[in-house]
Amino acid sequence: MDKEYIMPFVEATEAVFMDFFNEKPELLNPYLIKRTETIDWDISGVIGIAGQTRGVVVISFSDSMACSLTSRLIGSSISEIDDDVVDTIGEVVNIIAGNAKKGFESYRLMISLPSIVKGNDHNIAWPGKNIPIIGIPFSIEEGEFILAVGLENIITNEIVN
Amino acid sequence: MNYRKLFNNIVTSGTYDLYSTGERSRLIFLNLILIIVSFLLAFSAVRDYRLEEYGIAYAMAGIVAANIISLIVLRKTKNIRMISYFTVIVMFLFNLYLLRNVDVHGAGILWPLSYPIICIFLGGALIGSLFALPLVVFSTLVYVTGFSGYVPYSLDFLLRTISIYIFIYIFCLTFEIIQRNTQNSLETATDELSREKKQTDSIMHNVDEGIFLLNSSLEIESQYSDYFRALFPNHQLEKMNFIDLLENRIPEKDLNATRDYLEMFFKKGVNPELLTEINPLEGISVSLDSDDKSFSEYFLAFKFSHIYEDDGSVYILGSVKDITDEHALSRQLEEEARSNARSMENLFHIIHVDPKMMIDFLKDSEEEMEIINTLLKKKDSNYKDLLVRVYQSIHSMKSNSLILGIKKFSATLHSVEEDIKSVLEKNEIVWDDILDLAITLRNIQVEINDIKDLINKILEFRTDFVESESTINKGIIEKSIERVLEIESRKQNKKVQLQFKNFSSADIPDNYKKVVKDVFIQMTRNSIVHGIETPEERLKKNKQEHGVITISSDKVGDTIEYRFRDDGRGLDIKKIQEKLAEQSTGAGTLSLKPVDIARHIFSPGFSTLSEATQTAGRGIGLSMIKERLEKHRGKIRINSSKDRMCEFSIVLPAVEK
Repeated sequence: MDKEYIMPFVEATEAVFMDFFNEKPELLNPYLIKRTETIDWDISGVIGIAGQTRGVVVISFSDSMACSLTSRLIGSSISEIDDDVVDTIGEVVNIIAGNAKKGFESYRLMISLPSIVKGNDHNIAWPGKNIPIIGIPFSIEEGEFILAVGLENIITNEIVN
Repeated sequence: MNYRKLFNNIVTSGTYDLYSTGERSRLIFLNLILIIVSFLLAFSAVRDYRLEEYGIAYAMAGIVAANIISLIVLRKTKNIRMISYFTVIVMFLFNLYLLRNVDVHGAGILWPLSYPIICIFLGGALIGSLFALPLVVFSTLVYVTGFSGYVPYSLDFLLRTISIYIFIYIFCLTFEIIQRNTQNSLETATDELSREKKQTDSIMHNVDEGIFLLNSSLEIESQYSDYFRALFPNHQLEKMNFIDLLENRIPEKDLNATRDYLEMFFKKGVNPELLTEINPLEGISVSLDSDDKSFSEYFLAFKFSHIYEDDGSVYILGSVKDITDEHALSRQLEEEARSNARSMENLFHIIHVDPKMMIDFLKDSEEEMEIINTLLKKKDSNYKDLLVRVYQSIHSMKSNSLILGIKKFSATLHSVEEDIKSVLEKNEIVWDDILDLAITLRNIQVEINDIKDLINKILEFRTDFVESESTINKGIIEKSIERVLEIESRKQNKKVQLQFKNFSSADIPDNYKKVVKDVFIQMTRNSIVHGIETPEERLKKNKQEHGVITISSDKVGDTIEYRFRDDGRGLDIKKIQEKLAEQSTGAGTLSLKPVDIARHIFSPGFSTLSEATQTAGRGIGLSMIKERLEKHRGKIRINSSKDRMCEFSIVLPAVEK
């Protein structure tokens, strides 16, 4: 797996948080996530990637963080996950995916529209058989959220020009 | 208000599409005759009434009434044939009346001249003739019998009139026959065409491939196969630009390449073979709409070729096939081939090793990975410290894999060590380096998983193994040490004997097993590299040719003591001191007591060897031992005597708190 596939998402996440929440998230140490592990995953945006490499990138928030981020955006306080929160998180993840896309212009990669998964401590059905997942935690005022990357090894022999 | 529509509605009795072209024209003719004749006669009737020609006026009014009724009935019943005959008969009677009564200035003879037209066009060639001829007979009769109540016709007048009548009749007849024939051949041609169209359609509906045509603006033409349609169900395909269709479905880079590529088709002098070769869509992953709006990836193979029309225009014939399954399969095969190649390399090494040791190795490796991961999760931003610790774990994994002779894996770990070392030498370690590390760990994990798969496969063949699972740990530490000894002494060209005294891995508490194993392996390695002399050197010193390593254990009070002893040259205090001076600024090291100097062999990064090999020289082994022991509240003691022996004693609490 290549760093070049991860950095656009990291940079896009930083940029979007700067733009929308006026806060630069602090990057914590990345680590490996077990395929069955759940890390406070209450609401996740799942972005599919296809082409040169395949897999998913997941941006995951806890309930309380999702609510708090939504409150920050719409200006009134929200304490429970409702449609507004889901929509907001969906939109934030969508913008991150859109931003990240720019970083992939020189690659043969397609990025899907994100789908939102909701549910306390849900599992992500990671693609592939044995691919380890890299988790990149971001720290913001409310706590941490995670960008998790599960990508196959590059196995295409296609000529990239 | 649409007048054209209204007109069409009136002349076809409101049924424009109901009849074939032939029937329809008859219907239109019938309606028109009824309407026009009604208007004309109504006009004449009014005029004649004013001229006090009451007879003719009433007759005309009667015809108008009959025509209007016909119009209404026709519209209601759509019975063209009946109304046609009725109209012909009404006109026949009207003409008889006119012939008989001559009308104003003998003009009565003029209306009958239009009669053959009505007969033929409404009744067709044969039946029309049957209706048309009696009028000639009748007019002759009128002349012969003098039946007319008014001025009788002169013979010349009559003959001329009949000639014109017959002329009009024959003209209409000829026209009707020609028109009928033309119509028939047209219908045959249309049938033929529609049958061919049906065949084309059925090909387009059923062909197992997407087929479409692009014009010079790269727009999709109207004819394309259902297969193509099904690939893009949510689009109006006709006249859609092909590039627009693919936008956001394939990477932008490929989209641009495709645009340039397709435009080349319309340039003169481009080699068609070259065009086939450089097709950017020969095999491409495309995201397509699916019903639930989720992301679905397909692998499509497009082909394009020229079509030159007679009129000089050029089209592109495109064909596309969904090869997702084939592609997935070949990808899977490729991946399997690759993974098998990887496995084969490892297999050679693994197959000779006791599976128990392999399982132990895997357990250890996963434990080390877990240690690293826990370190990473600590959010410690002291990267240097973090990397040193990670290095130790990698090192430990590496020495374990070296013992088992898993060369490929140890080579990987060795290069990871190199990488970490070069990062450690940087002035500033940044987050990016840690991300690199995480990616490296991920790749190590992949290799561990591969080895795990391999061992599980081997175990499937060795069913006898299951029974001895309860004694899984028996002798493993001894075996591991033996292996290290064997490998290292061969490498160093030294002769070494190993003795165990009161030592058995089964007796070691579970939570100490790993640390004890790590310590002894590290020490064995150190001892062979540094401590024990070459056979020649030993003989010179009046020692036995082969060195002896003794490993023993003792329970002393509430502690357990594990001892490692060799009869080598002992710690080389001088060399350590020199190295220390070289590494630090040198200040004060000369005044250190030998005990303090010896302590330095446990500092991270300290090594007396100037170049690192896979086995030794990185100065990591002993420092890791010290740290791990500290975790278990263990202590280490050194006892060394120049040219006689070196002994390390590890003291651990009997029960860990």
